[in-house]
Amino acid sequence: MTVTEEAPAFQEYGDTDTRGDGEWLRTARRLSDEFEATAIEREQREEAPVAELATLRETGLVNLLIRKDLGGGGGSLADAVRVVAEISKGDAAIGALLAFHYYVSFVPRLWDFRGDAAEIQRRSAAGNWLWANVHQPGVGKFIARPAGDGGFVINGTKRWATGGPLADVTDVIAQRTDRRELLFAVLPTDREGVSWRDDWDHLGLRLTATVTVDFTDVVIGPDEVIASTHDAPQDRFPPLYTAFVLPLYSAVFVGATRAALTRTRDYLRGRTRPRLAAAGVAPVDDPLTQRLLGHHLAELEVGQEFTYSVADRVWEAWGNRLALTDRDRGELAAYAGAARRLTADVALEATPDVYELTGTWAAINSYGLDRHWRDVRTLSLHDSLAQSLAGIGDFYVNDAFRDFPRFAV
Amino acid sequence: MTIQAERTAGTPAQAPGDAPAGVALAQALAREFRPHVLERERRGDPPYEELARIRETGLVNLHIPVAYGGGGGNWRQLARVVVELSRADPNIGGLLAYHYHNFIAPFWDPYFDAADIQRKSAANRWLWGHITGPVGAFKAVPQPDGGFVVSGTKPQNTGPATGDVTVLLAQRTDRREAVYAYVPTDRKGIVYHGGWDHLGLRRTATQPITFDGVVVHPDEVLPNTTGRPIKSMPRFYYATGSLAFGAIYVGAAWGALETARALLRSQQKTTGTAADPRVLAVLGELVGKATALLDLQDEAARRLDQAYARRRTLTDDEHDAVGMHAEAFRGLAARGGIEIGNRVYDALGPAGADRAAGLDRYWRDVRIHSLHPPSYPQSDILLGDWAVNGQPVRLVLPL
Repeated sequence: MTVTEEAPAFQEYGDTDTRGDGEWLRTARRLSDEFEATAIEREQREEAPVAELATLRETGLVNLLIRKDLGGGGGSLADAVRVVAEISKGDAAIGALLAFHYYVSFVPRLWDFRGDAAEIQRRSAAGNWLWANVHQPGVGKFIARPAGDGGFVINGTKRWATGGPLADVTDVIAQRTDRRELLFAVLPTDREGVSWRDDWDHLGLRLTATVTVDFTDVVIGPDEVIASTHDAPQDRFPPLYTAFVLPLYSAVFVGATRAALTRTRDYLRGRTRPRLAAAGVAPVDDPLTQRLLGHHLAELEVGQEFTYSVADRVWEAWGNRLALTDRDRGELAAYAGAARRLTADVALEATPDVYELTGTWAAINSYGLDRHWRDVRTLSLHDSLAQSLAGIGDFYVNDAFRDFPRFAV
Repeated sequence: MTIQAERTAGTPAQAPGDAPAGVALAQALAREFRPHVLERERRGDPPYEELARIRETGLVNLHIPVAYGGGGGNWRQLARVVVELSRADPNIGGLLAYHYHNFIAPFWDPYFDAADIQRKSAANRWLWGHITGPVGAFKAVPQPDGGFVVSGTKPQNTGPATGDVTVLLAQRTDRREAVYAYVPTDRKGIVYHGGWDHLGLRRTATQPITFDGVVVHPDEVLPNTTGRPIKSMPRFYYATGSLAFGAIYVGAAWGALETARALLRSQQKTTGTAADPRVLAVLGELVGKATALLDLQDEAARRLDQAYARRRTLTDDEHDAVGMHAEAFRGLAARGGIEIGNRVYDALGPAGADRAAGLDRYWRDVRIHSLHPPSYPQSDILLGDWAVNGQPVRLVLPL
């Protein structure tokens, strides 16, 4: 752990990655600094981060999780988590888009559990695709009718689909009309019949384009369908879905919290006027400043290490996926849920509290200190913390993890 | 636990002996204001229209005794009025908090109640602001007629831009004493710099103000019959400030809870979350805290009212105890308001963050106002010093 300004920031997220040379983290660090410099202005102008996402494609960070033999980076989930935390430190909206991209582009591999969705991985790496998702077939009734050629025609509407207008492809989960099973497919976001509305006006993550999407007679070709290689018909989210999603959310919380603490520290270093303790004490020497920042930093470090540990365990389980029991998967999901809950709590406590240190002047809108709270508060609503906590307790008491409903009826 | 539609849980609209035009009137006005709040808050429009209604209906005079033409409200009611208005809009509740808290003329005149100023204030339905920062920045040059000419700049002032008169604190240039006075807010030489674009309380028009040779007439100088020279802020200023500010946070907390309740009820058909025990547990915990805060507020106000009634014989120790109790309330209310405004989202899905719901404004308003000194970490030190060393807050001016 380091809090000195001079130390390269990637040490804050650990200095190793699967590549062994720290190159992804250095790249993420550089991009994070770039994104941070324009984050406040970009949000106030409501300017979609198109150029920033293009950089994530060009640098190959979008391909980090794709297997090396298929043209990707061959990185681990922990690598992806570290990169997302780093990017989120600069701009949590872009970090969240990357977090969503990593798990969404992994879902084909969870679906084609034995075949690892090799073909789609290869195409994604070659095209430097950024992914979006339409993942809740139960909400707005996504219906897939067989077209006869092995393809399908899909209709449905979903609210709060993140990043669709900014992405190259989206995956979609829909209920098949011919059997009690879900269809999973990947298609370009500009496919005829797919329309992304412009209706995202929320508290935070304002540039993530989390919009309503309508599918109107959208034609899916046979080569766009990802076949399940699980034994049982797929009637719910695939195994390990939660375990892959939640550490990436945690990474956004960690990065946004780190940003709030770092910006507060840097702000105080430039101030001479006493703030909390007795007159004549500079803010940086104020024992209350030190206590508050120390408290939140300690909590953040715990949350960060917990998140890395979850990511490592999930990755290990992925390597051993065919041997996992239901209980193993439930335990992983509960463990990931606990880390998500902890990192969200740390973020939700720290991001309002930094104002105690900076005072009213830093509450001016042009300084934008509020974006950290707004972003973490919004992300933490993705699925209710209250429900997720109960899920962890359910696993502990009943040895079962029942977080996702079955969709097909 | 059910929260009644127009009444917060455990909050009787009126208590026996309350002035009739008090809390119930504030509730009625809050209902009237609520439909426009979201749009106006986003634009940062000062609540001129709402404040005009507060003057018209007489709520503006609730703090003045009946004998002087006012509503005769006590501090319990005044703080409840701030709560009721803040439930709809903490900007308006906040401006009323400043208004009641800054009516300090009687505090300096315990024997004659500044009766003349009270009558004028009631007759004209004055809304009060204040410019009472560190005195060093404001200089008062005595004039032969007993008045002063005042110059200086103070960076953040709430109330003068939307009020009729403002109380004023300045350092006398002829001796190591301060002077308290009041002037109309449109007096020649008062310069408003504007520029408020902050996290919360976006409608209060808080801003830097310069006094450039402002003439203060002799009858605008607050009379002092305390028998002490003005070297500190007056008695009751600390307690009334802590009480009134804490009431903003309590009102905002209830406003956030009620906004969440409305969302849960409207989503119940599609999501069923209003019947989900996990969601109810989140909301219930926060409602419990808000209920306790309101009770603590009433208790702090009761102690203040009792002490104020005995103001001519009250000892320093008795006075200080009331102030520290009010400070304890304000610190808890600040923490509670921030926590409730923040954690109430835990009971909601993404719809809670939809800007159309406007839930964030309660958090933003409490978050920014609770930075007003003493913020709660400072408040912890003050209370700790009192608990450990018996040292109360005395608000001595750096003259």
